[in-house]
Amino acid sequence: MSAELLEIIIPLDLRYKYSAGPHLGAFLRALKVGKIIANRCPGCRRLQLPPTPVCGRCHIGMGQDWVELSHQGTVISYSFVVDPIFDPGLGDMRPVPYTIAAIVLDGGPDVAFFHKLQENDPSKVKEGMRVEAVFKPLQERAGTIEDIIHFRTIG
Amino acid sequence: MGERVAIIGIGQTDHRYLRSDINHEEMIYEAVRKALEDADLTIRDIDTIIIDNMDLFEGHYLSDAMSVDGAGMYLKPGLKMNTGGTSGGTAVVTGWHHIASGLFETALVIGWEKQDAAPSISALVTAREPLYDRGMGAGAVGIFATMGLKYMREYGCREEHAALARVIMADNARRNPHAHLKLDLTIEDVLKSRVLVWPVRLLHMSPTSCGAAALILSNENKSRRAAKPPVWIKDIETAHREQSVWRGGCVEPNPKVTAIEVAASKLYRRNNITKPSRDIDVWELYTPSSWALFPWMELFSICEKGEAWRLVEKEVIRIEGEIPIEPSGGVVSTNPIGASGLIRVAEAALQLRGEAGERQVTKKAETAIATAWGACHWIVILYLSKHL
Amino acid sequence: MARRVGVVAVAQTKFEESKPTLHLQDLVFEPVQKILQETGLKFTDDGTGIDATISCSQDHWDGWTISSKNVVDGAGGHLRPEEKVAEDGAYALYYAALSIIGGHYDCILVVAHTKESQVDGRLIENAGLEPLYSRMLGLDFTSCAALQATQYMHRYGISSQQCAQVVVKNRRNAIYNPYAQSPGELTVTDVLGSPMLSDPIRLLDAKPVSDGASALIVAVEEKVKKWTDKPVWIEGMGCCYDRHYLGYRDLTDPISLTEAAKRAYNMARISNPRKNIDLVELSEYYSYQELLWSEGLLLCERGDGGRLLESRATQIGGDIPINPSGGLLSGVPVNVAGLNRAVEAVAQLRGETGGSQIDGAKRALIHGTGGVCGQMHCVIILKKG
Repeated sequence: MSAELLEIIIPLDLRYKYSAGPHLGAFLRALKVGKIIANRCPGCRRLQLPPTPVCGRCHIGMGQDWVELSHQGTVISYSFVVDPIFDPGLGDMRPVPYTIAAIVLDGGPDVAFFHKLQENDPSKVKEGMRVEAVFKPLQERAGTIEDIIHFRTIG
Repeated sequence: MGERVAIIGIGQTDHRYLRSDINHEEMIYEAVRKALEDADLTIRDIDTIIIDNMDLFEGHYLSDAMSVDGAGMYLKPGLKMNTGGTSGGTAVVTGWHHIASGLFETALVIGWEKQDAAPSISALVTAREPLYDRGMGAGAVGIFATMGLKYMREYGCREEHAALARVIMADNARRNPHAHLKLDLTIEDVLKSRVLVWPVRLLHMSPTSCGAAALILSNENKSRRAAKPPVWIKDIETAHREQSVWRGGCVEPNPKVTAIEVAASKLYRRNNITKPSRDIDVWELYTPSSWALFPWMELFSICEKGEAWRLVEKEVIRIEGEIPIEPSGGVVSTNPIGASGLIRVAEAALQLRGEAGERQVTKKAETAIATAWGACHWIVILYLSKHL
Repeated sequence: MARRVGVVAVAQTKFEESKPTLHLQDLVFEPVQKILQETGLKFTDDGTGIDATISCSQDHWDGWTISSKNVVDGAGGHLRPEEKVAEDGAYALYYAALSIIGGHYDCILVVAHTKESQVDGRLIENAGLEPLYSRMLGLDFTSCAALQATQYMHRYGISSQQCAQVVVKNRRNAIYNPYAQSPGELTVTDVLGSPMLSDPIRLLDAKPVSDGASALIVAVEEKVKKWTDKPVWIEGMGCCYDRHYLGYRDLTDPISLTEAAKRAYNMARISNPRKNIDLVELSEYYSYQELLWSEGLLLCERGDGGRLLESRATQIGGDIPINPSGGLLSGVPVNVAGLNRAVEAVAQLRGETGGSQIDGAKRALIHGTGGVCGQMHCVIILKKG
């Protein structure tokens, strides 16, 4: 008998209907109206962005102490992604290159927000640079993280 | 306190990118058979079996249920743990608790991953918060890019140092018959390899490997009569971390305290380890990227903050050095995720037995630290010793 | 046992067909918050509170790889020991007890969660079958259970009516359970008239889709006595695996359940389970399973599951009541199931269950199972302190 190896491709296609819950839900609804909001822990006073129901450090419920943050902030870290990754939203490989960044928004000093930068030229991106959120036009927003298209360089 | 626990059997497969010649059960069986042979036992001598695997990476739901025959779990008690990168370490800890309880005299601990089944990076995307994070990220790579960038800025370390770290791991791996990547690298090779997310290059990151490893643990009574000298697991410590990464935000961009420091300091204090670089002979640290090595060395108090890259520059971490780190070649050479943590323990145990062949460290090896790290900055630490 | 382990407190969410307003983090935080408030205990490093957490969830159901990551905040895992058992919740309790007996920890919080409503569970179950020769047949756990049910019923003359009576009993028991998802007065006709899923399993013969979470705190004897005046002790535990491929198993003979039960009985020094145990909370994903598992647990002879039910012994008021809480057939999520059985049993032993209270109950058996057709089982014996 020949030693032919058999391999069979079996796709696993699972679709999930995720609930945002009250805290994340509030954040996503705020994005739709062009606001970026964080919630504050009643214990350690840290902001959580995006919001969560529990503060991991204090282990208490985060409550409803909402803080609206500026659309402007400072890049504290960035990465140029050149190796494509599968995007479950697209159902295909995500086009590269793109730049992801950790941004500290004005008004939210203890938390960094991850999003994309408009700038894809490595020579033009550095730590400390100032950026500003660019939202989709109001009628195109859906209450998702992609209501912010990216952050553009300012100043 | 509970029963004392030792490793009396060690087995691992030769780890590869593809193992299309066998299915997952056969792969598990390879490791299990080797561990049993090593301990001169049969499956009948095993009281319980603990297995770990990242099911979603494989696509199998309840992957332990699907591995019963290969793992020898038929009509035996056992369970499955699953904690990401730390899984292999967690599984050993789980086995440790089983023996310590006195309810079982021997335990077989198995870790495995057969990543040729599905690209785990895609599954790893599901580690991110689905509602705002999954499109954003770059898998595990992004964390190390941030880590590397920060370390270079703060301490003057250069790309060449991470490249050297990688070269040392490759040199070690070539002496390890089980290692997946046995590359012959120079610093230039590393610096020329493709950038994934700067400063992380392809060669800085661990491969996706298929492989399995198995350990047999037993209590003091059985260990003293085992076929080979027992390697004692003297203590363990686990610390996880709030979901500060992978959630579209980072609540502590510059964490003041890490899980590694918390867990390591507890373990050191309990065991009177006051100068780790002196008190521990071999370090099988789980460093999934060359860029993680420097912060890890400092967080484990092997050296002061900012000094790790200098130690690497002096090559003291080599097999012949005073502070040998990952003589196996480490996770950057071999990474079957469910097994990686376990392999660290297996390799450390081989060192303490003096059975590590060409990768045996030159200095006398009586104590070791083996760790497992998970992508949310979780850590599992195991302290091994030749003596009780 | 060198160190005695007991339950300090229990908590759970209500079970519902769907909890669309809750994120998974909310779902886990709810019972954890309740249990912490009720006990006043905190997560500590100095032995004055909870030493570690053991969580329980499945990546496939959560849609998260490393699913415990999603709940680590609520489960108290920040810079602390937290491990995840990727098995039914009864195993999480089993492991927690082991870890305390071994002496490394004194007090552990156990929490299990699943939100079945967010995904098509049948596809997940299909992925629980062997990929190269089972999955492509379009099997899921229900169709496999139907194979087991058919064989079992044929071998021993178990009838669909008897299976339906299990549903009637359990749904009626659930009326007294404020956390139950689907309490109700059903008749055998209702059950036998419900749509067929996979012959002979009908819609009402199967556990409904459910969302929810349960939590428990266990501790070493001295601390249990300090922190509660209604201790419940863990007297015996056992778990066991059977083989995976259905064709290798005798599906009418639950050997891995009997093996697990015997281990638990030996540890608890129980020689006559039917007499020594006062109530049973088992995991019946399908109506026939309650009959089959009662045989596996040696509450009756092999083949007598139907007769046991008809003797009314397993009703509240009988000599071996099974699932006075309403069981899984009244709506309990997978994974949470085994842990929730323990939560219910503890409430029974403490006399806190109101209308379904089993008078004078001293010993309870709880059971969790996982895998196709009950491939693996975990049995724990609890005793009132």
